[in-house]
Amino acid sequence: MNKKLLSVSIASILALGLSACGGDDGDNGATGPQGNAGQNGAPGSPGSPGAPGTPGANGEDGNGGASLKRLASAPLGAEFTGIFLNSDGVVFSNIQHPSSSNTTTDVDGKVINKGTIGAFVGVDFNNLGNVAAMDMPITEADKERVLSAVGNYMVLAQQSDALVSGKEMGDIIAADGSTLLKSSNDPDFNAAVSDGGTGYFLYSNWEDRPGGMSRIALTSSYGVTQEGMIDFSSVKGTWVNCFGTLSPWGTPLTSEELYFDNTADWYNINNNEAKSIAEYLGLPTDGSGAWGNPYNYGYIMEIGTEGTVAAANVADVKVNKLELLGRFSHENAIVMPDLRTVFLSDDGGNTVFFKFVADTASDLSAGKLYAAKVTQSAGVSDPAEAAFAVEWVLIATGTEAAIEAAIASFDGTVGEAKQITAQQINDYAEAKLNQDLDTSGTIASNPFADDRIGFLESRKAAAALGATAEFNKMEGVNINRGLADAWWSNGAANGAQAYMYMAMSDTTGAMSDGAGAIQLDGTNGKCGAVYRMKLVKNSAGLVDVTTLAPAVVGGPYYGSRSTNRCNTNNISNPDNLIILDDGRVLIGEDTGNHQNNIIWLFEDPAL
Amino acid sequence: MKYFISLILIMLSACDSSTSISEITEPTTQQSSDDAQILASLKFPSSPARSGRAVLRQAHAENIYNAEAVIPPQCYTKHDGEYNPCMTCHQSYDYRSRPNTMSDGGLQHVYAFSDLGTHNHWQNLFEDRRPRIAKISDQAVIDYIYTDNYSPLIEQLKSTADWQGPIPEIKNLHLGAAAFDEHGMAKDGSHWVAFNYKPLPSTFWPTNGSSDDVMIRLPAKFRQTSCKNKDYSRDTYLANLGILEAAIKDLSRISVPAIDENAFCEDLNQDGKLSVISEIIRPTHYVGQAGDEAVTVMLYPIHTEFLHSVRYVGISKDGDIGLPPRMKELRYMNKFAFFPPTHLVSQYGNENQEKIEGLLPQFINRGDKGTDNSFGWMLLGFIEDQQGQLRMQSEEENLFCMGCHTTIGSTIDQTFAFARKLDGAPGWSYINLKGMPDAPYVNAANTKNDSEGEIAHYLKTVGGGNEFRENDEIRERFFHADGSLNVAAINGLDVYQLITPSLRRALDLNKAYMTIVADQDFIHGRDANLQPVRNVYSEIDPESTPVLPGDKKVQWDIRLRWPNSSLNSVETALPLSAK
Repeated sequence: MNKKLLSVSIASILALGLSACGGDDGDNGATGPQGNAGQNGAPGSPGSPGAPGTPGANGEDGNGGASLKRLASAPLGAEFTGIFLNSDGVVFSNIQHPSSSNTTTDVDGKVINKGTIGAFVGVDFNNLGNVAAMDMPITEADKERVLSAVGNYMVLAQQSDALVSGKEMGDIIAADGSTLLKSSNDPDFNAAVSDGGTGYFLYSNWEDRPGGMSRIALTSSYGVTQEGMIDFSSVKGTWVNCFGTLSPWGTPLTSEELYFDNTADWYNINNNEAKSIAEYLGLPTDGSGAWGNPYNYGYIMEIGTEGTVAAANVADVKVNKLELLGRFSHENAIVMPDLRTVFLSDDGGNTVFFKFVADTASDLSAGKLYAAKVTQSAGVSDPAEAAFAVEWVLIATGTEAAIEAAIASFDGTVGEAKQITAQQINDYAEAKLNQDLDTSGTIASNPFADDRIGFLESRKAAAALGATAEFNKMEGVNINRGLADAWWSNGAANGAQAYMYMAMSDTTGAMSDGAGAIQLDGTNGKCGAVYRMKLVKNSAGLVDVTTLAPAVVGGPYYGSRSTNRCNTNNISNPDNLIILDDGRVLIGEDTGNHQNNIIWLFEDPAL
Repeated sequence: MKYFISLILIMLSACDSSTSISEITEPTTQQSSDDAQILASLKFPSSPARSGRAVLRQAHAENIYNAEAVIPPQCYTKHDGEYNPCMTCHQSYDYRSRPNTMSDGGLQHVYAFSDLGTHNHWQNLFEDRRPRIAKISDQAVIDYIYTDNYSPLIEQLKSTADWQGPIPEIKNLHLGAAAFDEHGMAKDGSHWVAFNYKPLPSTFWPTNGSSDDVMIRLPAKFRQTSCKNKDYSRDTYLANLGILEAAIKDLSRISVPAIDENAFCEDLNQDGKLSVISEIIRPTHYVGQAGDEAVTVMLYPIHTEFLHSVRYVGISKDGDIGLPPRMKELRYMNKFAFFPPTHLVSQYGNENQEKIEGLLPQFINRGDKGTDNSFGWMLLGFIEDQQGQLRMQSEEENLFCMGCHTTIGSTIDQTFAFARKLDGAPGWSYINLKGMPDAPYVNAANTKNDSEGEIAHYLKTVGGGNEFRENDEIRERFFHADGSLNVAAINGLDVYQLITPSLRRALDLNKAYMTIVADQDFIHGRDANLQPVRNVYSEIDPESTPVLPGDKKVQWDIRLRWPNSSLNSVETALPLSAK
């Protein structure tokens, strides 16, 4: 190891941390090659970064002062998923699809060579204080373990661990309750809930096609009982369970990431993914009989409904899909402190930022779905500077009962291929806007008596209604519940501001294609960005956001490199994120552009 | 049966031979007068020379020229809306009828590349090598290919104190058949086993530039008795190899060399007694000390190893085409993890998801140990340095191996050759194309009576002699002037006659490849094209490049229906296990 090099990189990271305090370096431009900031050079020790600041002025676009500290690194080939802050200050995070040829044992003797659920223990993330950043892993041994700047990564469960239920961790079982369809190595979203005593139940997604969810019981000292997998047969199975959050009323909200941009693909008999649903349901996979209903998948799903979240027996946990929160490629939903507003991110290409507003607090079964229409700062294309104004376009109004009944009307066969057509989507939008969008000479009426088109083909309906369908790889969107609640209950005034953050894994695609509402410079776009949204109280007295501003931007991007194509001292393809009680943000990467994926501790100069 | 006996005789005579090429002593083709002339002008060494040693390891390169090196050059061939060379790799089978659920038959029709992949990085295809070929004498080729660069590599690996990877040693492997006994077992006791298979169309046809052999090795417990002691047992090993063959090909029964069931105390032919048998009925478990290993259709057991030497086109002193001592490449695979079909289907799903998201392929390179294909196999490749000495491939050169050995639909457990082994006992011997029938590929539509050979079908479907739909000599030999296949010229020919080149072409192909070795630009392509290819795109425009019409799709199978095959009904679905 080259000690000199190491110390230089430590100095530059620390110097970056310090420069953040001033908050007025904003015009440095792109976060980019962070090494430059090293000139500040001051020794890293003088702690309490951020204290001297009067950072407000540059808050919206001043990312030049961005403070990133490398907090943890994942083994080769793996991404960090399911980052979750528990009430005791422990942070859970999973290791998704690590290299199966990893043979390095960690301090507990575990080898992370399969999907792994774990937690950073021995540290209170809600009282983190100043953190000495860790360096890039260099040796193979370090590249193959979970390294962290604080605490110790503890493996809680791994793919194929034996479960009390008799099945294995990560098993995807068919609706019949017994047929093993597959074993997943893709743990994702975690949510810990109280077990009613001093321990927790940890719910974890298994992001597969169909998807799954496991539950393990943890004592207060993280002793593990491997319980079992949740039964989703009551909702006809689930699909690519991605990220999620815990609702304010204590239920995990898991997300179905639906990568079927066109519902017609669902009926393509050569498509193995649609077949896998038929297989789950016990239907003929050659399409000769009934087929899965495409509108049964692609939602936020609530786990532990009807008071079953802490049921003693995992088999008794009930689930419910929240169809009113729209059907698209859900990354996650986050419920606001008003208990009525829910923000929703949409993963994939040409995607939409959604908002749901419930009619009644704590009841997501009736309400309105909106989509964001954004306006980019004029004349600014640098992703590090370009902020967006957000307006909300109403997409649909309805009740869960009515939409569930509407969904059932699409039950059928491959031959019938029941689906909402492009013409119907156009007609729906014409009726809502009272405009002849397809210049057919007439303004069509809504083909249905309800707003099912907006709820079931949400992305296309949003685009037709004028919302911005240009986001690219939109990932985690989150708040710190305590900070947001405090801001809200104290009158939602500016000052003790609460923020929502959103990861955008990659800002190329429709975000940098030179057309439409979003026109960013794509030079470094493959490294992604994290956006900040100031929570505000709107005229309806509800939580809202009206701006979307870059908080930290990855890159530079070095396209010809064999590895680490994104600058290693900066974020790359951010995915999961959580906000700590002190407002700092943990940003987890899902990237092929860093050899080892990183969890960053980000101290936003806007705070 | 007679035919097989003669094969064995040929093998035996090859073993006795002191010549260095793995030749076939009984010429079956009439040599042309051109060939005779060439042969008369050449001097053949009585024993092979030895190469020196290379600089073994390649420095880690900060930059990569082609991050899509997993897409091989063949994928840029123009199909002209008619021809389909894509079928060999891209196949979909009935849902979950196999552990390989890649299901990429759709790629027979479209060039579905990432943005980076739309540029054909294999620019060597467009090089006119004829002026350089003209400067290399025929004798220089003979001297070059009669040089052993394998043994020096093995010595070097053994003497490299910090070598972390495998040492794939078979004594005298450079001599080919002479290194193996009558059942393909390495004579040196290394337990590597050679088998006789039909080379994959068409890169591995000698007429397209390379010869090759493949060896397999199963872990120790597959070679040990169970009912008496734990000793090495040749009969146990042969039985387990037979069981594996039946599993990989999904055969219900398979012939084996004479085996005494008393070695492992299992009645493998189900005749009610333990005796010497010549056929096994596929059991549910392997035998001997491997009795705890379940047989899984189309999957190898953990720690299976393969060794594949890719060589120049060999020419014997009698003018036969075979394998010369010199290797172009030495390729090694080791199955370090066993994933059951339930795991693989998830992993293929991840792969598909990453493709949807437009991510570039990622593989973990583990240095001396090789590159992890993320489906349980580690791949390690050696290739010639400028002096013709074998060295490790660079990371990018290794990346070239990963596409075909990872995510294509036609492979069985990420491999090619073993599923194409001559069925049963006769196939346990070193590769020998002479007398090998052009067996048809397995297809629900072709029955045992349907005799159209796989090679004949390939030539017709591809409209040329290789994946680039070129090869002038094949065109001349087997096609009419109007481009249609000359069926009469093909009928009755064996594999040797179909896919080996004339001596002139053999020498020129070797010269062409020698220029690539001199340039050391394998990242620009390894194909021994004599002149610039004509039927290959240098750029793919996803918008305008035509698709292959749906009716040109071919349901091909890597497996072959050999005479007397006991193949199961095609596409038996894998039962899903209840838990």
